[in-house]
Amino acid sequence: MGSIVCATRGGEGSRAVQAAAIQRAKEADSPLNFLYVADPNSLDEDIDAGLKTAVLAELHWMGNTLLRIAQKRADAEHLTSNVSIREGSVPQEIIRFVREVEADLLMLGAPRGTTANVFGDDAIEQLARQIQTEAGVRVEIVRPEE
Amino acid sequence: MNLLQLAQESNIIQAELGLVVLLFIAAFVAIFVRRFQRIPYTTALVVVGLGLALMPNFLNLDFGADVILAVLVPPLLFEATLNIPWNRLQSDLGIIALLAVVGTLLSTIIVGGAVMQFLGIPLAAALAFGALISATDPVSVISFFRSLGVSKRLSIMVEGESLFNDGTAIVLFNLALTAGLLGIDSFGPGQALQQFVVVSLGGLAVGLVLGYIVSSLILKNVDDNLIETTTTVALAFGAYVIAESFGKFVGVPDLHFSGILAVVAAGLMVGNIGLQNTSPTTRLTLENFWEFAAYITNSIIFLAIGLEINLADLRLFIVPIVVAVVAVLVSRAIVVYTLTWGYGRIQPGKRIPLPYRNVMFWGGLRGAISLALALSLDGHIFGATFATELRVMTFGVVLFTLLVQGTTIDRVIKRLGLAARSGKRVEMQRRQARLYAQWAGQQELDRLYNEGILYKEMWEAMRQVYDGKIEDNMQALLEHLEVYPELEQELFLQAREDVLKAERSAIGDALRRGLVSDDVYHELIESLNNRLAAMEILKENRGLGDEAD
Repeated sequence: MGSIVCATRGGEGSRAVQAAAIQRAKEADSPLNFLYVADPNSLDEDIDAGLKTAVLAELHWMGNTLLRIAQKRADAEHLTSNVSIREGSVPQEIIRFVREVEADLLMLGAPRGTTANVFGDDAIEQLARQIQTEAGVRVEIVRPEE
Repeated sequence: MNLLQLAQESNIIQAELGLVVLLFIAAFVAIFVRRFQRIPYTTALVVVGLGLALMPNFLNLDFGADVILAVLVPPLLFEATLNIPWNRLQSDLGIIALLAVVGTLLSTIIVGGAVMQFLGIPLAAALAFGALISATDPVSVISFFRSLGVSKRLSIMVEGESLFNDGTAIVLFNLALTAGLLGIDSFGPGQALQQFVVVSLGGLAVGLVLGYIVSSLILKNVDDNLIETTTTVALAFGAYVIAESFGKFVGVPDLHFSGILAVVAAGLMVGNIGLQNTSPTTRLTLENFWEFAAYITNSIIFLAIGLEINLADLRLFIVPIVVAVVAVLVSRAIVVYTLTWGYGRIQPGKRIPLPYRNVMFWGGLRGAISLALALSLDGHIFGATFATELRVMTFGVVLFTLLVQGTTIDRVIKRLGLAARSGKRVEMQRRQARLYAQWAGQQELDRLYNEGILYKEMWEAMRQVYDGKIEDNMQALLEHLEVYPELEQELFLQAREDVLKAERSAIGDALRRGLVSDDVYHELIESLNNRLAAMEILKENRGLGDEAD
């Protein structure tokens, strides 16, 4: 089996998806990559340039911290993992990354229950479909236990 | 001779009996409110006061304006400012100052103009009413903020605006009285502005100087919780008296500064500098004492509001009251929405979200300061008829804001999605607070040992017990985060914000110690301020990005 990519953002589903990815990588003896994408497009347009730079810098800080936590969780399971921070549109950066590492499986975390009420037309499943189609990689969505 | 007979003969005993009855009533109201939790404590006190006012001989306490302003208000303001961290206040000082100064001035003009236009009240009297009714009093709103876990930023903005607009309103009110006395034509805007600046800045300066002296000379050097607490009591009342009578100390009898602003500045100084230099025991004593003092004075003030209101007068002046209520609501809407919008255009990184603005509008309750200023109106300046009308209008507006806005603000907060307090967050805070307290306890233990108060074996034994407790609580916190992983991001964002503030504080220290130049200091501080503004955005957007966790 090729490598596994676990995209993480520190939200409700992060811990669950990291645990599932670690478990899957151990079982399949696959390389595990944790990925964090800082997305500048998610900022309001009327934010001034200095503040935008600061927000991006803080997103990188957060990404660094979250990836280190994920890596420590893998270490605790005696699994070596790689971490990577990218900047740009979340779907495009994930697609680019899974191609680079020739991943077979992408794992995404999601909040408990359906996301339709939070993200409208279930944005996570849409995102998963988009990546699966464009990158040709299998995508799994993991939610925390209820 | 029994107590009642004695009371009939002695004014002091009579006043004391009245106070005892008031305290008992306040205690019963508090028990009722705690049990049913339907209305804010302060609103319940006003309702009970209204009921008691129907029994004319039940309580004969006369609360004049001086008693409220000089005796009851200083402890309230002092306690409120003790708990306002300067760095939080500083980050939104721009909008707080804008609302407290420009907003109060605008509100004075809008309300004054409306009551002059629709009720035919003379200009100076109308402006006096506009000023006195512009002082917001968020006591009941803040208590909801605390119980519902509303963001600290919103809480600081509402509380900060109220603390500073009290001073502005009093200065404007006095200017209107002077204009009424001398004639509105003999009182130019330039003179008014000059007086406003002198009175306000003078009050702030007196408070800052006295607060600094007490913080750096006494709180820093005397390690005795009783002496330190007593000093802060002297400071709270002393700042008020010295500012108000400043001219008498320097041989210029007409010169006086804002006592209210002096108390606010002194409280901020003690809360942010003095308390940092005291032992945990003193801090605890001080906080408990001032919490109690504020509770007592608050209870008396709001009961007094109810007692002072005459329901028959309210019926008689119902039209002016309705006009005043509408004018107050319209002016509040104009002030809050216009100024916050304008501020957001100038400072995009510190824009105020719309839900916050809605709460600031509806949470603009009126209370003690308005009541005290209204009570100070007598017939000498505006004539007995207008003085009575303005007083009753004030009571009517205060009553409306307490009974209508005060009892619905919690629903507004919840509907706007600003109530963050869910069971899981409360539990996380509880576990964090236990850890925080135990760390503090451990540090105090080390201090006692290092100063030779504890002997080694006892220190080691107590420290081991603490180590165990801390480990247990850390484990409990981790377990909670495993069950509710969504709290992890909140924890991260809060911790990151705290360390950025620590970095900013360190840069300030570096400047004071001459390690960095002014240019480098300003460059680094601007960068850190941007980072902190970025954290606000991230907190509002929960880390940004909706797609995946």
